[in-house]
Amino acid sequence: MKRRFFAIALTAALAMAAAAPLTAGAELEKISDGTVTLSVFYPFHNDAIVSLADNQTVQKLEEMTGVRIEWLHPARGQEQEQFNLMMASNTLPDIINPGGEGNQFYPGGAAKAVEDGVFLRLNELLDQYSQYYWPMVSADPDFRRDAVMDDGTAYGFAMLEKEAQGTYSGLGVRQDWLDELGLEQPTTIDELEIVLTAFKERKGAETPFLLPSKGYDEETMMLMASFDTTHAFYQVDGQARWGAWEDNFKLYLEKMNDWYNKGLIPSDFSTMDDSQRNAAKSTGKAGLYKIGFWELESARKNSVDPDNFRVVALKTPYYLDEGEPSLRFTNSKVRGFFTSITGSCENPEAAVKWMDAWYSPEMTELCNWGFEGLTYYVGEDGLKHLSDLVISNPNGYSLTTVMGQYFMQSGTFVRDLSREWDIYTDDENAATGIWSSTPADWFISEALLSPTSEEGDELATLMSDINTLRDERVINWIMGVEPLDTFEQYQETARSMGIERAIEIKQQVLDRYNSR
Amino acid sequence: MDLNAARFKRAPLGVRLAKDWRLNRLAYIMALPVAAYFITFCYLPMYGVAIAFKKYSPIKGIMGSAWVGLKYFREFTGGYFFWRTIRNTFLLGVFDIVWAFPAAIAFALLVNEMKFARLKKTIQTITYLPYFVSSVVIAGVILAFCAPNGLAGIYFNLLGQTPRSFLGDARYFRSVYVISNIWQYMGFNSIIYLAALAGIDQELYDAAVIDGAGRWRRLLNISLPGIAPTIAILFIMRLGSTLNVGSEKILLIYNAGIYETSDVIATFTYRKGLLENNFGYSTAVGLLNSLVNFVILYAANALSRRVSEVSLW
Amino acid sequence: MVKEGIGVRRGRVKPMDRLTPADFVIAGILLLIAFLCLTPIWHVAAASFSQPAQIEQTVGVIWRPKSPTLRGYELVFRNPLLASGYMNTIIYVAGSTALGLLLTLLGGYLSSRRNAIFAKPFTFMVTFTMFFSGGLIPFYLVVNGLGWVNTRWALIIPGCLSAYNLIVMRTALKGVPGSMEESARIDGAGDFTVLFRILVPLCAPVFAVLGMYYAVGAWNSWFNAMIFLQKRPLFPLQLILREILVSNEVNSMISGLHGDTDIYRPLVKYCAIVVATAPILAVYPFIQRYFIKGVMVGAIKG
Repeated sequence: MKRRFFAIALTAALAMAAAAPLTAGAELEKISDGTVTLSVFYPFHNDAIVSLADNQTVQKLEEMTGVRIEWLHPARGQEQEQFNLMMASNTLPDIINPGGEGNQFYPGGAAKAVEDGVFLRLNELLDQYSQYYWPMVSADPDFRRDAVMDDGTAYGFAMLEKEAQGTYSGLGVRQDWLDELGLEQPTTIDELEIVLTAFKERKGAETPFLLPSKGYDEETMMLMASFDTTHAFYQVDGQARWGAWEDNFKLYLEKMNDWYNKGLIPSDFSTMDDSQRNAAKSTGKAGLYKIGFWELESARKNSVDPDNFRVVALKTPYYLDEGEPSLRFTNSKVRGFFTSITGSCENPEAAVKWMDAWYSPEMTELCNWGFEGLTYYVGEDGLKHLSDLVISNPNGYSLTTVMGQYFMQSGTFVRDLSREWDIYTDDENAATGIWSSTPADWFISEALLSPTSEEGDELATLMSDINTLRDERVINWIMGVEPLDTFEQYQETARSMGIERAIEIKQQVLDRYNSR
Repeated sequence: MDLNAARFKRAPLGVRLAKDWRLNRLAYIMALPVAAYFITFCYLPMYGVAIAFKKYSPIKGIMGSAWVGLKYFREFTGGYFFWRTIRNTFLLGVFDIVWAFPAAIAFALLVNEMKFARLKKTIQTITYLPYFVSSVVIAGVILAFCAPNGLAGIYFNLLGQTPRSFLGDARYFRSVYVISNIWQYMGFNSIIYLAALAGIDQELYDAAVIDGAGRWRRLLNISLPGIAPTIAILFIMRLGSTLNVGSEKILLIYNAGIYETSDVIATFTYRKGLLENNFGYSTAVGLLNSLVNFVILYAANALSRRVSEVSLW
Repeated sequence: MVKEGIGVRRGRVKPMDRLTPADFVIAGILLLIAFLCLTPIWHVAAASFSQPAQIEQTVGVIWRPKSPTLRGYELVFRNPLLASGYMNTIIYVAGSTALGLLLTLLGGYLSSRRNAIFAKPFTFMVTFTMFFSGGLIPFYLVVNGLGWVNTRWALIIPGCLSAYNLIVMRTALKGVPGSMEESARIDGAGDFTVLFRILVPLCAPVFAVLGMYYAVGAWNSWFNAMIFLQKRPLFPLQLILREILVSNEVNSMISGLHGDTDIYRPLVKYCAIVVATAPILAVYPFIQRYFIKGVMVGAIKG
């Protein structure tokens, strides 16, 4: 009940648009009378059905638009390879969804793909034929910035989110232990150390903090952000920086080395695999670790003491007594997934119209919720809720599988993540908000940048060596194999390997993005 | 037949070819589909190595892309960690040949000496099992054994040191790699030697027994010489893949802290590939790798031809 | 070569057959090795029947299924493509192994001819392909040019022949004493007879091993299927299992949804290995009998 109430509060704004039921006669404009066939390359894998052609929403779309689709589903994990081969053999389908970040899909990036004529430049076609997608993108400043390239070219239809998902993973702490020990949630690194020490001494946690095996966490940057730095590129007032050779990075390493020596970090952190980490979590050897919001509940269920176990999101602590971190990863309302129309498409008009139909109110409804009475119901609260068919499937299929059978789990349409709130616990639904409560001003969203192929080449050449240098030293410093006095010498080495040139290139790319 | 061969050499080319055709016509005709196979699927696509010298653009194709000359080779050989990755690759390859290659032979000989027939069959079946377990699971088992609470813990306790992971210390990596390789492949690789041993004429053993030769003598004088040609050829070919180390496994068990001994060419290229998917670079590295391997094979073959009768060509 | 006296083996106990302490030492060593080799597969099999949470809490090898469950197998077996995957794999394995063995034999024969002028260049040409290849793209273009993409041919013919195996075949054929062939030739035998009537039976053990190498290789292969097939009904078993595995590991960015709530998912990793390996294990004992001493002699007599 409580869960549902929470959902109501959060959905209030969205509910207006979404709750309006599909009127009986609502039909999309026919694009063709069944004579048009388009081939679509679209990564899809499902436990229950073999192809998107068997998906109920897609069938409905075919019925409404009159466009027949020949679905091509590459083997999972092999989208890139298949795409390269299709290109090499000159057998491109009409429409392509790369399944990953479109920007890095084509050697040299999306800009090069448009220049080479592999992807069509869509701006003019969209002006002419788009009823839904283009007006929606034009009306929203976030969409307008991220759904196109630096120069405003649209190279595909982006997956749009009603609300940006924010920071979906970060530090998790054993709240039940904090309560038991009468401790507050730590807000500074010093307080965190007191908590970890208490976990170790009074709760028997042998290695209270599960430091990720690289010695840092690439995705969340947790604890590095606490020291106002990170392992990679970030920006301060539009200035590109590389964290791992800054003096603050040394502060981070000193603290981790200190914790390592005090036994607050596993002595074999660099070699622990996932199952060893999971074992440490579930048996209470550790009380602080990286976690995703969707894992909080399953961590409890898998623990040896599920009745008392409670892990919650912890706001990133800061290394000074005053202030807060300015760096965390986050997502924009455009995540970087695109469906493009290729240069081989003989009927771009139909392709654009068909893609546009995905963004119509009717399809938005279908893609997110499926069919009333089947996959969702409208509750007494007047809101939509996913039905038991979806949440606890009688055939034992997972949520992902059932979604893929009836509607869309992800893909290029307008996604409304509020549909999933019912599924998660209060702690889980609160987590993203807690992690997102510090500013993210310094974050660079690499997926949305558009480096040219020359920039990409040069950066890769420089960074592969520099990253190797960094990763090797970080572990050895934390473990004390190498004394931290060598940090200055390492800074010099990084300089000689061309880190300044790399920052310069990143700056160019970033400037173009920031001036969109 | 050797006399015939000698006679060929003295005759003029045309005569020799005519005679060769008369004698071996059918052998040549039978080999035609094989030649066709290699030409179609191996030689015809070989123009693809050009990618190593080109800035590959998928839409322009391999031939249409612009030449960049030796850019990618220079990038690779000029890299900061180039020599270290070469050293690590080479040493892992050599240690593997020194330990794992003979292990399979020794194992085959042991199995061959085994008398309890039913047990022998069971053991044979079991020992080739690890070969079928995917590397992800194998890596999991290796990590568990090397963890401070696994074998590594026992080992360090015996030495009176604080338990730590074998994989947290660069000095142990090569041993872990080679030993786990033996464990994974020894049984499966021994099959071919067992087959060769099965082909040895049983009468030779019977005769040796009558002559009073003990087990050890029979092993040295009959079994080993009997499979020597197989060993020699497989050894030459193994040398030809010195630089092909099991990078999939290394990727799963290594960590940045022990790059000093574990970072090999393939793992380094893999990490670079994560940053950018560059056909030219990876083809160039692959080509260089093959070239070195081929030179080793060629030298080994030439040497073997000098000192023994065995050679590939 | 084929002399009298083979029957002696059956008659009396030879000194060789008496058990000595050394035999027990050998058996002991082999048992230890077998135990070490069995451990991981035992672990996999036991884990495939266990509760995932319990697997995680276990450090080291799992000897007995923990809280036994069949959920993992349910997840694997309800895949709509599994049955067709098994069928396809059998077709691909049978087709490519048969073709591969035949070609290996034919190529190995020429390569092993001592008096054929082109035997050595031919062997060189074969060996060369083990080192240098044009890479994936031109290979794909050739197969595409043959019109085999999205057909079964793409999985049967390209890749059916291994240069390595051809060399092994050649070594075995060369190992047959020249005298045997010569006497057959005097009796008027041609190449066909020599190859199929004399050499093949003599090399039966090696032939069996190569057949097994090919079959195992074909059984385990998924890469060609992955690049040549977009039609799922043609997928072989390994590709389907791989998809199940990969979909387990897909990170949250790509799937867009956070994690699969099914806590039994981690089991799939183990079940897939069992499902894919068990059939091979069932077949192996049949091949094994070729490795037992004396087969060669029997083959000649028979």
